[in-house]
Amino acid sequence: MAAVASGDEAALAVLIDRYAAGMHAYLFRHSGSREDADDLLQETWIRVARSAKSFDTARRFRSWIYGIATNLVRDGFRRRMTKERALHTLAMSPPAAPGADSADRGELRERIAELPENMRAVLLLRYYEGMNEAEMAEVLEIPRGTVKSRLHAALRELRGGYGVSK
Amino acid sequence: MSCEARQEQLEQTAFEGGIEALATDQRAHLETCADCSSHFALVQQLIGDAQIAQPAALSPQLRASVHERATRALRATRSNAIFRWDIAAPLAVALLAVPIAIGQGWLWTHGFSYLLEPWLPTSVLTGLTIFYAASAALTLGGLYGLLPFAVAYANRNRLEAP
Repeated sequence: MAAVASGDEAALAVLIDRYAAGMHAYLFRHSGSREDADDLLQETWIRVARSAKSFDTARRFRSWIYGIATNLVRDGFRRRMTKERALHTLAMSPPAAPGADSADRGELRERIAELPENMRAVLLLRYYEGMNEAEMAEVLEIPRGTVKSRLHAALRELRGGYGVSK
Repeated sequence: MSCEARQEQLEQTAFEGGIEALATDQRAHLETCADCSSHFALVQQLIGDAQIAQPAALSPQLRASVHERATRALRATRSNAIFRWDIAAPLAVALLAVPIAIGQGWLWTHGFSYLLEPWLPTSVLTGLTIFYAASAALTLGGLYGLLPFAVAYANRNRLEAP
């Protein structure tokens, strides 16, 4: 990241190649729309390039960039993402192996899409991005205790009315 | 141990190795507690879904677009010189236009109008003076009105420069 801050375009390209696909998947799950995920991904990397000089090297790069992406979803871009659109796209999204399992996955993803944004973020970061509490706290800029309680609330919300105990 | 604490423990176990990694007391608790059992099932389902949903590679168009726009943004941060010709030039033109207009006005009132006074009636001279003053004011106003657009255009070119 120090190389990017000094204007090294090759270093930026390496970072993009390493993180962009994962980021795109996260943005897609979070926003619920492929078009929005495309826009958000580009906007995220523009912000990374613009703020490279102010990057705090004590921070983890991954947390920083996920923080940028999460804020983008939460702020301006969220306005144009209707829940219906998110639900519609998410319901279509699972790479579909037919049968009960894929139906369960579709239902699970719909339930995740219905979660409030702050709960959905914490759930996606934990389960789909494999982050621990410390990393999530860094990304979301909230205390670890809040991360823990939000995650617990998200799981509780998901369980409510959702038939997982079969 | 409370169910909430147990559920945290179960979540950790699920990440580490699923149902096989459960300790005997955890298994026993799951058999008797519907709340923890459904929590554990959900956690397992989430972990399973996340494992299936591996990120796909970006489309070549999107990848190229991300690279291009991010690189352009990085270049724009590099050329952060305080003095910029693309902005200074229209500013200089606008600033020069004022003394030029004043100079022309002075030449008219102190030169040509005196020269033409014997041949032209006063009303025509007054009309010409008004016409000159109005056109100069309009030109200067238009020039200054265009300045923000010139600056915006220069900034946009800077961002989009290859």
